[in-house]
Amino acid sequence: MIKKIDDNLHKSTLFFTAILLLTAVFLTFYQVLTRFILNDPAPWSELLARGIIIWAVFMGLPYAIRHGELISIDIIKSIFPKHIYLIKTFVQLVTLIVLLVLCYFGTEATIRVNHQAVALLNFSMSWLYVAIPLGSGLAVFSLLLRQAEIACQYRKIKRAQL
Amino acid sequence: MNFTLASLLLPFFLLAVPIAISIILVSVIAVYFFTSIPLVVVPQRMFVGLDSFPLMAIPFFILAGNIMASGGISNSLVEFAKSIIGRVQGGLAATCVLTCLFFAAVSGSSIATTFAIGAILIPAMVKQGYPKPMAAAIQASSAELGVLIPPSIPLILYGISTDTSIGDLFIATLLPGTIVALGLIICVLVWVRIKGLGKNDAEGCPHFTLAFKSAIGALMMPIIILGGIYGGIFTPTEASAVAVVYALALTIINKSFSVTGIIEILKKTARSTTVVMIVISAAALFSFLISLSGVTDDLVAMISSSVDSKISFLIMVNIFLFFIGMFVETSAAILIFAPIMAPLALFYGVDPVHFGIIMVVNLALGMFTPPLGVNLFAASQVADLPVEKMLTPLIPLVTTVIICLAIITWFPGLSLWLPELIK
Repeated sequence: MIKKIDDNLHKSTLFFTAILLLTAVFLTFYQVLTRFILNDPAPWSELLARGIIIWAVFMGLPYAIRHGELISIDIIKSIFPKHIYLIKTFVQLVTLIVLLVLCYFGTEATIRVNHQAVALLNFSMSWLYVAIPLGSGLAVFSLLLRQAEIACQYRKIKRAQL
Repeated sequence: MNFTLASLLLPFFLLAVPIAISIILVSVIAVYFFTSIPLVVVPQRMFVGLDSFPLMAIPFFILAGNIMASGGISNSLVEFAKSIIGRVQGGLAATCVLTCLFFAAVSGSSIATTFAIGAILIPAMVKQGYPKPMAAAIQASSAELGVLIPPSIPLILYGISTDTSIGDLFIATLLPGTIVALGLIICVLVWVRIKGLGKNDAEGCPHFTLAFKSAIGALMMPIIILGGIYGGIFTPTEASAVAVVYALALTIINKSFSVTGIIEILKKTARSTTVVMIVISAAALFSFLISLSGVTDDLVAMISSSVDSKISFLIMVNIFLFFIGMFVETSAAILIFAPIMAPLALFYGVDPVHFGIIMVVNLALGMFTPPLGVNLFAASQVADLPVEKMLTPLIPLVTTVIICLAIITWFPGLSLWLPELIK
């Protein structure tokens, strides 16, 4: 059951991110077209594309956290190969704190901009800000799943050593 | 909070905490303990940092490069480079450098270049009797051209974080990028002669016109991008979207288009987008705090009192960046150091465009210097060879690029002549 959620959550957020990216590309291309062909650039397309990219970044976060893909300096892992699980768990803990901060204060930021409308587009800024708490909230879940996997691997190796 | 801020980053970096996470955490600590600003500023600044039109060029150029790499383009570029330089002794090694130069013009990343070109040329070189470590090392170092030739993601990042024109940076890097390519070509040609390798490289060299015809589609891309930007037709970001559409059209014409293939490429791009952009977002928060703390002014005052001339400043910066590049990933290094160093450079009378080129050429060296060179890892994966084996053959290549870096640093005209010519 959890495995199913794990699979579906990360597959669907990644797919969603991919679609968002493609949409942003076409919006920007559309802007070039309107300027050339219609001689009347559509400024809203740029604003919308910017919002979509922000969504894409935070929707990609659960997948990146689940697979430990964020850029890091991994040299310590080759210096202390025996303590790799300890290092990984420490990294997970620090990441958890950051995600919780982002989720909590991201929600606050979203509520704050509720009455601000996006320029030229008739919707609230909150719709763009909400990507931050949503993405980092889902990523907390991904982080816990990753931790379960790390613990499993650790147990397996311990058992093999015995 | 000035230096505490910076000094806190280091232990987290060294403990393998992801760079973005370290930066956010240190910023949270700084905001909470050293200022009276509410913590809600953290997501707000991260949002503002991402909400930028120029920034969108990054995922788009990554996407365009990925589509190009999949569409059989790499093969025709290899053939084209071979038809130009392949006939001499060591022609295959020189072909590797030249192909990377061409491929750089359609791709903004050097890892993609290593995978796409290395998969073809490393086995080809090994087949012609080159030792595998040497072939892998040549590939790893040529791939750095990926960030020295426009479109270049590190240059976009430098432009955004220091408010320098991305268009100017793109055109400024053409000559320095070519110098590095020439340097590498001369280096490998001399090297194979000393070792007596690559005598039969001319074998199967394609005819120039034929190779040119099959490569023309890919070769047109940089002309569209640069021509469009300099003709005032579109902005760098719009150019990147046009590049994606062009690359898509090319795969359709080449009959290599498939919906599942495109979705896979989109997913791959989505992954790198998040990974790169989250660092950018965190760095935006960090540089907000840096400007708030006035640490840049302190640094300018401190350094200007101890370093007296432009030359000693540039030498110092280059040595510093070389060491940083060995450990920190290029994009992250630019995002963290460019906003601090560019004002310093300006103080010493170094043009921001020239300084950007110096930074990128220098940090690109870090991509193939141990212990943490992304191109080394990519090349070792492609060649199925441990990284340690590549260290000896890397020495002449790294030395060559260091000499090129010195030339580029010493003669600002190399970077500034072209942008001024066009204005």
